[in-house]
Amino acid sequence: MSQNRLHVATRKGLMIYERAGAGWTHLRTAFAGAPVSLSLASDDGRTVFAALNLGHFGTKLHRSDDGGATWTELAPPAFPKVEGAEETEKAPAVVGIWSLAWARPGQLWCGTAPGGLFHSADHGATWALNESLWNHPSRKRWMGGGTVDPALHSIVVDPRDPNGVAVAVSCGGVWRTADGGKT
Amino acid sequence: MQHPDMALVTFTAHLARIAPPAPVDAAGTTVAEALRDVFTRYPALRGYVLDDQDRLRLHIAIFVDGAHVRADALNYPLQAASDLHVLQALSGGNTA
Repeated sequence: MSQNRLHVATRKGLMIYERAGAGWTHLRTAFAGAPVSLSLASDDGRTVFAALNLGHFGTKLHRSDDGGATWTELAPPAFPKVEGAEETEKAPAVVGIWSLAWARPGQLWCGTAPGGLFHSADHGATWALNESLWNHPSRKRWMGGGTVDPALHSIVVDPRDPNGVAVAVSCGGVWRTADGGKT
Repeated sequence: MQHPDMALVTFTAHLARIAPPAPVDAAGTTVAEALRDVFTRYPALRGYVLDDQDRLRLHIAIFVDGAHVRADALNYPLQAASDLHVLQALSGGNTA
């Protein structure tokens, strides 16, 4: 949500409202009919990210640079390819985007199920898995909370220092970094 | 007209926004090879059919020459001029 825009992600599209007097007026609907799992907007409302969960066709990510009028589809976060993984069901694949947050201008964090934390340094165009959290020994004990996979559902960036980030995993606890995700 | 040595690949209308607008010829001796050939021309389509690990998405259904390929669909062999359909499965219930 930006100050004068309200972005409501629904199972039938992304509804965008604009402040009008004491209330809100409907500005536009994007992705009409598609399940939008969440959105993230810049303070001025011009840049908007929308995560879609298309069921059969997987998790998708789109960005608008004009307040939701036009959209560009981005490559969503994906787990690194594991050699020979086509033959096994065990190698991870993103099944949902659960959280999005600004890391600093032009940079983002994204939380997924299974419990992956991803970082983008280029406005969402490409994503890298945060290996230090993914490889933490405790992850083997994480489990889904009402879902099969654990979900990294919340990301909070310290407004005083973007290297300070806290994330929460259901069910896998709360994790903090003070060095931008290195440890 | 279909090339006699290539598979003809048709995608569900639900993918019309990013898939070939009409059935396309594709080279390959397996489903995976034919799909890869299409993805080189339609790269955005890949993530709609395959997951992060290049496995067929769980609820995508592959039909070859009119038959539903239920197991190991990506490695299923294609004949010359096979007819390959990529559809969304009707999911639900318990198949166990």
